[in-house]
Amino acid sequence: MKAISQNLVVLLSVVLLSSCIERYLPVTELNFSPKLVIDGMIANNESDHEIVISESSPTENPVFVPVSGCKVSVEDGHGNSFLFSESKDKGHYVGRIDAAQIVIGEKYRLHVKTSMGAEYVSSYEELMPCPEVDRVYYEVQTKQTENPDITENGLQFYIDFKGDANSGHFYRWQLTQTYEYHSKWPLDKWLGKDGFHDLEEPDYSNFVCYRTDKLKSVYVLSTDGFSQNKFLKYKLHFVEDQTEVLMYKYSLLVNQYSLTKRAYNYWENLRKNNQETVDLFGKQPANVKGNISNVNDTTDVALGYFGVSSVKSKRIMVTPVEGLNFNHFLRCQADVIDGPLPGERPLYFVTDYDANGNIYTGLGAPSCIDCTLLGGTTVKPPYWDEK
Amino acid sequence: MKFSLIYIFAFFVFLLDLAGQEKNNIQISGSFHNITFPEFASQLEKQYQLHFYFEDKWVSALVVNLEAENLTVPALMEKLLLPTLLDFVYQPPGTIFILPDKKFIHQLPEYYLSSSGLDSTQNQQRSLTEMEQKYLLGRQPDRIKTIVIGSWDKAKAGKMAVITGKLTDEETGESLAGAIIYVPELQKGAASDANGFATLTLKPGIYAVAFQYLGMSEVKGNLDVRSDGYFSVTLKKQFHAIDEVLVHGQKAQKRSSKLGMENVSVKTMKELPTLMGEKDVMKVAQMLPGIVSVGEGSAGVNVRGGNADQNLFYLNEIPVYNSSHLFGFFSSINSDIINNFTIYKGQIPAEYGGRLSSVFNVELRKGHKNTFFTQGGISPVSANAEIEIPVVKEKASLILSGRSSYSDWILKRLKDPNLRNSKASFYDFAGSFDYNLNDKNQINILAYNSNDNFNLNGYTEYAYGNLGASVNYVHRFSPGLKSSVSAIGSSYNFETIEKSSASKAYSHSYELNHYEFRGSVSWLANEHHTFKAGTDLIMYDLNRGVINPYGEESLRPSINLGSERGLETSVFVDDNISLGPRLSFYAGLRFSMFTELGPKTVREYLPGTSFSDTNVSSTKDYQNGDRISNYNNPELRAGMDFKISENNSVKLSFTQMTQYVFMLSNSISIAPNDQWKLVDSHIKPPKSEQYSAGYYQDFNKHGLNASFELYFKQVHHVVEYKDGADFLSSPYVETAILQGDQNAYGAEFMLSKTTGRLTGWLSYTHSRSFITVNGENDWADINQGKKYPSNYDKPHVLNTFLNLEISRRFALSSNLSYSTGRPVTLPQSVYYIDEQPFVDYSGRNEYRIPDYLRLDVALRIEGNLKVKKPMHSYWTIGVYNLTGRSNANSIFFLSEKGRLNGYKYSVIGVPILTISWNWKLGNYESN
Repeated sequence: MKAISQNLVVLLSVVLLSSCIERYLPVTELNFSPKLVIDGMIANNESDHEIVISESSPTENPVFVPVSGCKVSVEDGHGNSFLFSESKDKGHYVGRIDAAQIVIGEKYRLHVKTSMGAEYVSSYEELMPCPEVDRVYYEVQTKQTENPDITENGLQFYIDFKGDANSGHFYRWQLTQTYEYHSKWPLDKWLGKDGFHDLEEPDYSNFVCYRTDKLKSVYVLSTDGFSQNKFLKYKLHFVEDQTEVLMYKYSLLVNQYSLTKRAYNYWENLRKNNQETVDLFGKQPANVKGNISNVNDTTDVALGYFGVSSVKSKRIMVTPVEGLNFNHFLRCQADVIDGPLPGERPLYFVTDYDANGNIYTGLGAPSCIDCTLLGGTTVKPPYWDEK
Repeated sequence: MKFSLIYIFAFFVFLLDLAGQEKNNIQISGSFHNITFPEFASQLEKQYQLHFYFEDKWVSALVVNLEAENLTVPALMEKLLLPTLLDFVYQPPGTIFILPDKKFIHQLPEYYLSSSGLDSTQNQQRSLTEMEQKYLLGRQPDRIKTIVIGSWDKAKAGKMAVITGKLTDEETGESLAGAIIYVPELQKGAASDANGFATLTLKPGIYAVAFQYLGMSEVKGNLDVRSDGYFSVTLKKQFHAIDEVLVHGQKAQKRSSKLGMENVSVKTMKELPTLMGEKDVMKVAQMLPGIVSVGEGSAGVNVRGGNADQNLFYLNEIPVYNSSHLFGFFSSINSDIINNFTIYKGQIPAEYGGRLSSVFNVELRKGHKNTFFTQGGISPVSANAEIEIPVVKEKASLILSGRSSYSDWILKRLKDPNLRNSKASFYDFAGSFDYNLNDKNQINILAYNSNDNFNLNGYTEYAYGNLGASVNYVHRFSPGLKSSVSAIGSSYNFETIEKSSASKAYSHSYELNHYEFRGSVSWLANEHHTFKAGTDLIMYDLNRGVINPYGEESLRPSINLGSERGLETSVFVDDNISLGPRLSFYAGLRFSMFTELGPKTVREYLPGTSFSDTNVSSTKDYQNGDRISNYNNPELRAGMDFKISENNSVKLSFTQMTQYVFMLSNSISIAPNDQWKLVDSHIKPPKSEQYSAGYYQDFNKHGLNASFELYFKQVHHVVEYKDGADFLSSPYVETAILQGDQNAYGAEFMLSKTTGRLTGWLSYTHSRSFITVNGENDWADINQGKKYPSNYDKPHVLNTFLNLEISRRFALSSNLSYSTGRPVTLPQSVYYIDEQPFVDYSGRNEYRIPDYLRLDVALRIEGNLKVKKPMHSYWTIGVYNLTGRSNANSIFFLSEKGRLNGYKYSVIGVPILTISWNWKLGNYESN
């Protein structure tokens, strides 16, 4: 059903020339009352772990509302308790569980006592094994758009999964991308508050940057009941060539987390309710129930999930790919100086080409000269030159 | 009726006069041209010692054109009133009473007898009848046809005679369904059934009657009823030299013939502006009160707050399990072959059952029996054609109809890239053979097939279809006793191939087979009492199919969703009794039984736990034919009809229904791969009780009819689904289902105008529909056990439909639809998990999507109006959604790249212009 619906979405969505999906914000007076949100995971690849406790916020103004002053601990099945304490980051509780104490087959649960005295405890979660990440790859794809004359090229990433009889059937992937990008101009001539500067040698120190982003999407897989514990060509994200992300070098880190069946259902529900377009047939949004509930009132279930996972990681590097076209990509164009200079400082003087190919001197935006202004760092990641 | 006393008085006087006919002296001469009756009367009153008594409205249509030379008053009046329905009484020397219709002569004996307090004896009756006969014969020349029915030998003293007439089209030989036989003097009439037969009970005697049918010339004649018997009448097409003559007859109000019964005429279907120029019965139905669709382009309708699977759609007697093409954009029946379309949603006769909300009854045409006929049409979506072949002249006819889409043409022009690469097609076919062996025996054989295919961008293939056949045999033992037996088979199947991801690609085929036998006897016991009884046996053989891995790379497990068999047996009795001319009662009982049959594996669950995989205590294997579960349900139907006066009436009804087959659907509207499922040992049959009341008023002056109906409906064991229910993963449906109660109530108002150049209707419905799923345990609750509006709860629905005949060749029509947005569950708050925002949904269906509003217009251009031509055609130019409003179908939220975005999804957001062309053999009038 679901698959069809998904597709039909599109089908009928645009059926007669016109169907459409538009931005919409419903104007309703919702009775908002904040709910406790507990989000935490113990992973076996490190010793420092984090539990994030917050409150839900109204839909008109979605913000992260940390909840401070909670007593947080994780217990294992043998009665060992690991205490977590709030870090400088409010609502973030950090604790240390030695990797050696995070054992496949062992059960863990979370215990939270809020400053108001409410006690929450999660169900026991078993640590499931995780096989190595199999293959992460991409294909150059051309996507059609609503305008038949415009197509969009880019890379569609996929992952293959291979488990065996001993590995579990439920997995989640977390993706982190890192890419290199360049400023358009080096630092050369500029008018600062302290006067005009003209370097003898242009300064390229903030010319090349590396930016790392966690991809905010849920990817979960179930091979439950499959004839073999594997899955080929699971569709990950699509990166279009309309930006400079793929222009120089691109790196994708895949973290593969093992899940219990219950955790899988949680993440899958969360995904269905938040990251799947509705279709012509419509669907009933579901309540996504986590595994953390009030000790005294089991119907008081906190939002969020406490899970334990084994982790395996894999990184792939993507060097410029044939078939992608960045010609139309124009992030920076020098502003023509027309009349008196603008009042702000610094002003960067750069040279550029006009539509007729003639060179001219104009003003360059700061972010076209200092790449760190776009969220990246000039520190080259250690793996960057690996193949 | 303040005049009635005068009439009675007049009759007495008249009677006396008959006894001793006095010579009257007044003789009238003169010529009168194009004057109204009041003018005529006042002229005569001035010239002669005469006085006329009449009511203006009776004579308003009468234009006097008369040449008189020494005529007596009765002779003059006869000459004047002969072509009209009016009558007169002359009281010498100079008083003339005009009577509204020619009935009083015949009514006279009854008035006389009852007022004199004598027991009715045959003798008196006979002599009076003869007197009438003599009077009639003397007054009306031989050119009026007299049909003799039965013989005096067979007549039984004082007994009513049951007469059955067959009405056919003289030219084509087609049986006329819905034609009317009307006896003005008794204000009594009957409409013909699907086979063109109409039955009346009359006292032996001679009656003036009129036979009427839309588009046909009215035939007047006399029925000389002697005993039970048959007769036949042919009607001729009416050719209008000038504007249509409007006959304001005593036609029964069709809409109000039963509480909550709607009738859609073929004419309306043609007039209503529709999407893509396709005439569509279901779209017309959605303009009527109490019938709403969930959203644009969605299959199924919600009738009086009931779920879409609570409607039974019949094509003659074939149940159609999926009545839509292209997932609901069009209905799967070529509307050219529809003769009549009736919807029962309030008082449902006991002969129907099996669904809680309504019965949609599409009756197909019987076919021309004298001449070959063909018609068809072409629209941007599809082309259709129909032929009618007389096989045995005047006795047998074959209809073949087909429709096929070529909508790839359209898909190729769409914006959506996935659609541009998609392929869609559908077709439907119907063949009907109708054989009138004689007056007593008729056979009808019908075959029907519809099919849809859709291939979405190469990664999902979807196909579904209906296949059905029926054989119906009607035998009349006597004019009042009729039996009907039918054998019916219907099959619905779909197949899905989902291959967007090779590793989990699958195919799934589903099949439902329905075998049915129906038998019924209807008996017109007497004038006041009709009776129908019968039985209905249905065998369901349903294979929910196997989810099979598709392709070599698919790793998906194969899951057998299992097969089911069930036997639904019903017996029913329908009884209509009228007590006097104003009050009638209806009582019906249907007793339905359902048996779930093996083979099947049934799970037992631990007592007091939810039906879930972890709570299974044991499983039991049933063998072929074993009874697994059994349900018996008496369903009571009752109704009352009270005519306050000729123009208004009040009706009450009570209806109980039971449903043994329902649809598994986790979407808001019906999806093309939703599965029908039988009730079983874990899922109880949903049951309903409906109380309804209605008030009906005719405003004859303006040709307006108004109706107001109220209903309250309670449903028990309504089927709801747990969050995230998935029907492709397990044969054990009970694990995904919860059952609860539903309450629906509403008021429906409709004002319609059926005569004149401007016709149409306005309907307004206020209705609510709530569901409560509150089990004994928390796990058996939805929405914490609190009441919530159903997905199709739309409190206010307003529809108007107007058709203006600008001239005989041009007609403009429009419809306006407004409804409250359907309920939706909106997020109450936002929270962050793993740095991504997610929404937490509020109580179920607490909010609503924006209201729905759409205006459509259409212009119909008829070909020329020549009487003699081989073919007639008309064009329809229509604009759907003239204002281009994007009506929301859904509202949803997406967490994208760390941000939360709200979206509105609408299906059609621009005006859509379509042109379609329809043709038929014959001229403008031929049907």
